[in-house]
Amino acid sequence: MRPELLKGHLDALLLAVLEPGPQHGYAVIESLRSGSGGALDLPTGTVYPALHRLERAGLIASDWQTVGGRRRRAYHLTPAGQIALSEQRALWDKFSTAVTALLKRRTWPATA
Amino acid sequence: MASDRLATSTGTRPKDALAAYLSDLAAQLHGPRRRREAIFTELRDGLEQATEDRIATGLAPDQAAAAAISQFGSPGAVADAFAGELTTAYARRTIAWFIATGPLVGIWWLLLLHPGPWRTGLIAFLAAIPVIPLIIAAIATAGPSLRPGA
Repeated sequence: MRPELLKGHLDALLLAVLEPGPQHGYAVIESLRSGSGGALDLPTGTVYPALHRLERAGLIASDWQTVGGRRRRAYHLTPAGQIALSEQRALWDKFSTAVTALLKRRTWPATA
Repeated sequence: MASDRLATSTGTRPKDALAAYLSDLAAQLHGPRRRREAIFTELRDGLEQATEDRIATGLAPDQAAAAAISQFGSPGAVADAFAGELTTAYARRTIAWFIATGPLVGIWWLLLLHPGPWRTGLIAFLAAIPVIPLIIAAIATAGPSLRPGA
């Protein structure tokens, strides 16, 4: 999948992955990969900054936990993030419906 | 530690590969130290988890580490992806520092530029502080924090 197609949608996808419950960064990225059937296969290390940006925007929050002697940062959706996700979903529905309608193979009405 | 678990159960090579990757990455991250340390800790955890997941699927430890590293992306690409966030953090910290110290430095400048007979009480006390060395000290302290690599 071309990376530029993903640009602008990654934030919504990360929010969607966190909707069911808190997850640590690596698990979020793995969910992105497995949830898309491997189509969204971004370099793992480049997805962490997107999580940090979402946290700075107040859409997600994180806390450090110690699991098996290992310090681990877990992220969860904030109420603002939940609202943003709903908006993004509505926007995507509208956008994808429009693009699908236009890209569909069909015979255009003859112009004559 | 998980990295120790990796090392003891599987020899030292995977641990060395992960350490080499992480130190390469750490050298390319620029910004406030605490932010860089938090990023380092988070990515190390992710990388170790990625390696362990691959070992669990049956890969040999050194292959698992190599696969995890290649999935993470080159240290340069990861550092580039973080650059925007770290620059923002650095700018916020610098502004906060200026706001916190600005009034004090301002008072010193005023005292330096307006030596007068009106110094009483607190003003006299502040004026008794040697101003020029303090301004120099303030600039010297600000210096390191103004460099992105600090």
